[in-house]
Amino acid sequence: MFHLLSAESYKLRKSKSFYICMIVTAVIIFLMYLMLATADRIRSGQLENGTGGIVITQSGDLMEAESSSIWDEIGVAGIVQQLFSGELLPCITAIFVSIFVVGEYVGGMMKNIVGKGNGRGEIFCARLIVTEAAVIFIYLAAIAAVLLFGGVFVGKEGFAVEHFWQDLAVYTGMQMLMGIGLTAVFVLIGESSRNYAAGISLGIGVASLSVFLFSGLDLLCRNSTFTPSAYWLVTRSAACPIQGVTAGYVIETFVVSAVWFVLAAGLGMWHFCRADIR
Amino acid sequence: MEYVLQTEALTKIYGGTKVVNEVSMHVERGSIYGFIGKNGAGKTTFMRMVAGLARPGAGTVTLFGSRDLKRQRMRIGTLIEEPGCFPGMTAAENLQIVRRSLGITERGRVDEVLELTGLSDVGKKKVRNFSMGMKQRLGIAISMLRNPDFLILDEPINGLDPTGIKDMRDLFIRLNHERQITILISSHILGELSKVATHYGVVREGVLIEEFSAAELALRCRRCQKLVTENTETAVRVLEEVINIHSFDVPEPGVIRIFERLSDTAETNRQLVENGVILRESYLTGQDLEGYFMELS
Repeated sequence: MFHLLSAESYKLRKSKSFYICMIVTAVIIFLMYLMLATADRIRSGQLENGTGGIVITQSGDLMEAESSSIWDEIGVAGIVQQLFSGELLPCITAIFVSIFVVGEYVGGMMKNIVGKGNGRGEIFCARLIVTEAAVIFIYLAAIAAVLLFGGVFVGKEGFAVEHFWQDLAVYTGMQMLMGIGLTAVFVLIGESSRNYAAGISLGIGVASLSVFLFSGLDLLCRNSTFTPSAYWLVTRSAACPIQGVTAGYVIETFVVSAVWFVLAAGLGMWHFCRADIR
Repeated sequence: MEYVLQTEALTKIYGGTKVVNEVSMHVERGSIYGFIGKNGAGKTTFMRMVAGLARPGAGTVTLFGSRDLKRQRMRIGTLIEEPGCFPGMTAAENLQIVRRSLGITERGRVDEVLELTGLSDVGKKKVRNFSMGMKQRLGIAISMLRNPDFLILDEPINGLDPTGIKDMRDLFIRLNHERQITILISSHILGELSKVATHYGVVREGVLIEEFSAAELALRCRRCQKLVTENTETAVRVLEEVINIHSFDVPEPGVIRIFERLSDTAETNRQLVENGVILRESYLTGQDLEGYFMELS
């Protein structure tokens, strides 16, 4: 098992898609900050002098409003929440996992590993563990990028919220939990499709279209206390609060993630152990 | 006889069709076994089942005399269809992944197999930029990583130029002679196969129709005068005692193959007839290897 983990880790280190996904995430976070900074500058009238900014006048007099920064409303914690509540990270995860998992079938590398003394269950587990670790790395890189660019664009004030670091740690942990479950679902998709186009498109479909599906299910269940979207990883991840998380919510999140993980990993392993390798 | 591979009624069914139909193959230790059959005859599926990449529908596989396939498969190297590798990585990086996956601790093993297959000077060139021949060599290098006792090679010389084919042939012979590696090799290039194979198996529509040695094949393809007669015993006596011909055989009742005096068949016929042998047919025959295989498969 350890030698398989070593091989998968080596493969991950040599995987361009891993680094590209991290870089793309960081660039998108940078652009998010840039957009907000631009909006902030427009709002505070800093662009008014011939730079195309919006100038608000009343009867020819420039409006003198009390300057309130956009960062006061959003802050770094808000950006972290925006990052996880959108479809960016699920889509990036879907793309990376599909490339990482399907690549072994497309190139034929799997033929060199299966049937050479390694059990198929061990091979699947090693690949799943390293894929999960890689996604956690991507999530951590995303958090690091939010904090780094937050320091650059917002400054110290962006972090000056009560219990910022404590809330961030809990929130990150919760997102990791859900990310682990979601990654297992993407591994299952990649494993069963064994094709780049199918794996990536199905993965992105699950990451983005499932939100609409569960919204529809919520509407169908509007007369009951059961809310389906609370039990799907993407929608639960989006709805996760960054402050005031209760122990009950954490336990429920753990259970939801564990159920999806066990279901997806179990199905993926069952398929991998039974299917012929081409 | 010590066999490296024995299968018993090995069968694979896809969509209700038996693509491998009760194949019982015997690969002797130290041999180079040429596996012959048309496209879609079931060669690759058979090899994939032996290698553990596909589950047999029925039948058994015995490797090195054991049914503990998980352990015994550690002693085989495979190159089935195209070489399995990541095109965006170098040859050495691909080999490192397989080395780690197989739990081989010697780091120098990668350089050894690169050297063995003539890829030691490819440097940082990505596999996607390799020629077909280089990719095939990399496939062989991967299959050689764990110093296998048995190599399973599916069409390893496909797409190679004549020099590449010769290099591969020399490599197979070297591995077989110097390292005593048994090789099961399938190929469509029968002329090339006949230069290395010591044994053959012919598969047609999933059925292994015949297994024979290279010596038997040479005998079967040998040029001869073929006689069809009603009185075989008399003909045999006349050949030995009257005409003094001893190099002949009787492959089936009523058929005699004579391997000498082929330049004077008319005289042989005359003497046979004069001594009371009823000849129905008498003709010169003999096939090249390709013709013989085509007839079989």
